[in-house]
Amino acid sequence: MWRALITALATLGLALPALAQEPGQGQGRGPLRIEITEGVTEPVPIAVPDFLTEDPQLAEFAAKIAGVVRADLAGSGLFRPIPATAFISPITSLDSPVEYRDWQAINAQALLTGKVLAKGDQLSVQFRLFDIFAEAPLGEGLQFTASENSWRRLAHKLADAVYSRITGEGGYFDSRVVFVAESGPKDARDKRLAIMDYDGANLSYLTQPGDLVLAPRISADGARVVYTSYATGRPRVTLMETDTLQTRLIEDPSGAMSFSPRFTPDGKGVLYSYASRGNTDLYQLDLTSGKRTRLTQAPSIETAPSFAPDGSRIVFESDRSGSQQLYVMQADGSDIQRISFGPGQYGSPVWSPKGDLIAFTKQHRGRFHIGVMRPDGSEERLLTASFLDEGPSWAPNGRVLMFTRETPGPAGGAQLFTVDITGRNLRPVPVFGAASDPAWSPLLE
Amino acid sequence: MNAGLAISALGHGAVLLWILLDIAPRPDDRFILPEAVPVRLITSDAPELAAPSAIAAPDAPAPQDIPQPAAPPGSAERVTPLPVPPPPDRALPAELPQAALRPEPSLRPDIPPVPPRPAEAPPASVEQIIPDAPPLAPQSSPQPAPRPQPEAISAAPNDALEPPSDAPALPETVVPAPVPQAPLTAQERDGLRLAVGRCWNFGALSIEAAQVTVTVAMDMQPDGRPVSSSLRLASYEGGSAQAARQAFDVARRAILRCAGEGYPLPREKYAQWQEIEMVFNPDKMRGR
Repeated sequence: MWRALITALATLGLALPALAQEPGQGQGRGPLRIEITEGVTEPVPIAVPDFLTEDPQLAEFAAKIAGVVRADLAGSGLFRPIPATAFISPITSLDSPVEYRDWQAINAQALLTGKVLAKGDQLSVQFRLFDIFAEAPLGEGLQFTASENSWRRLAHKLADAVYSRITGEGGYFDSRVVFVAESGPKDARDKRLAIMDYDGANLSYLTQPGDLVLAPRISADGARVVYTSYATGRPRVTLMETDTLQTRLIEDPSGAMSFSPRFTPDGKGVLYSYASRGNTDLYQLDLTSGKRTRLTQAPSIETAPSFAPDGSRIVFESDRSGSQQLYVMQADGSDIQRISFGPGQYGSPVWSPKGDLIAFTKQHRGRFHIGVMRPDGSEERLLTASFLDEGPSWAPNGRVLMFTRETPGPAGGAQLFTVDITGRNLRPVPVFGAASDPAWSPLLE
Repeated sequence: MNAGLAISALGHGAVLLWILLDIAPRPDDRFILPEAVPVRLITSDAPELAAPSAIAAPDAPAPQDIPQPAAPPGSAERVTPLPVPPPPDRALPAELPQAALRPEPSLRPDIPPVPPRPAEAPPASVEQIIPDAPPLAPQSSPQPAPRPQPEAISAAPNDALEPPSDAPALPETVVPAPVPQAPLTAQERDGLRLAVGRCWNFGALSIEAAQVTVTVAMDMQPDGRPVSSSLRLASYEGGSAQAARQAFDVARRAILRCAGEGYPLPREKYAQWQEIEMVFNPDKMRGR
């Protein structure tokens, strides 16, 4: 008995170290198995040499287009363009074999080569993208064509293609932003509706000085803008055709206020808040038929509605619980569920174009935050914190948010910022003058 | 005194018996192998290089001569594909040129080229790689016991199959035994783990791809460098096939980028790391 017990223990003692080994030690039992759990989070080094051209008159376009591509990629925070001074191999032809070892030596992980051609009065840009360490092309070469005036869009399109191929996520560079351009002293701000490229370029104004405007939104096709106008002294939801700048009030009952408009996903309708007899509820207007549908009926204030991208649900803010919180309901106004339960107040929710997240403004203990949560209210994350951050708007790819940040004091002002939904890469949008209430368009066609 | 000793022995025995019984595997204690994840080869959805066509070929008049609609620049046209072989991850290793599998002789004169490894390496190859291994294995295998002769053998229809009675005896088959080796130490494994992790860059992964765990299988050269064409996505979990592909691209880039002159692996244990499966698990990286 004792001998058996001791033998068993000795056997067990010998066996224990073997049992403790990790599986897959490679002793004739298959490959060695290693688990990597720690990595780094850094922008990907990418080489973008100036684009080639055989026409000296296009040299300026070639340099400018490559410059915008570099700026787009760097501005995303996901890429780090390598300075040209570090390059070893010159790019002399779009079709020459790539000297991968030269680019590996400077730690470039991707290489973008491009060529600018003239096609009548239009420009074409051809490009190729390479994975330097895999020593292979990343996708096939492509070519974009546009008029000379649209050279920046060519660059944005190209940058979107690069971004998409490397990250696996849709791009957002070829897009526009409608916003409120502000000027004048803080206590008497002049607010005009304006539109610009996502990066602040090509700024133009849509309304005259003196017309107080708020909360613009742009339709999915970019052809129309809906916003709140105070031109009549009261807030009125107003629709503008962006090509003609013609406007019309979509609600004009005497004595009533309408505000906080949003387009439906198909652009054929508008959601908005309508205040009558001291009560504010949500309504949907069919822009074609003029039919108006009431969605909520509560004595509280319901506002800031935003459709899910599939049009099935609506998120909005309401103070029905006694404080400002977020709620989700079906598109017909049924099945209202509260989704925000954290400390503080929540407002201005916006559903992500991917449908996976809802961005919001949160106020807690005197600080404002931009945050995101799942549509069921879970996984809330705050991305920013400041004296006043508000009014998030999604980039077309659902990866980046643009919002308004206001600085305190008499000299303070509103400025547009972007932040990645990881909370990284917070950066100001270079806009001339003060700006607020951004509304990011979908990718342009 | 004797009674105390007996009580003590009984007590210790009871404790040891309890330990033995308690550590015996019970059904709910057993290590449960994870279910196999369906493997989807990257090759299946790799975009094909565009064949030269009227649109793509540079000499073709179509794209350059056909008037393009005015801005906006919506759709893109394909540019003539480069005359390059398919990328390593999109082709089976056998389809790649052999030169891609070999180290550059001029850069690495001390390391002989490595021929492509057969699917099942015979034990003899292990002995060649480790010439200094102590001859622990027996020099010959034991003689197998004679097979029992079936009684019906006498009725064999073909006499030609029967060896002539005066034929010389066949030489004994010597089966080389595998050389036992110490397993990779935790330090050696950590060295590899850290070296690859340094280059595993999440920076430009999509949100979805950053949540996918991918397992990358590869063959290694004796100098510690991976055979680049052998890197393949063995399995993935936690996302779509497209996200897995992005995660695999990043993992492959990490493996190749940090390989340098070879990962710090003991050459005398090459047989153990000749094939490696690296699991890139991003769980700890989320939110960083």
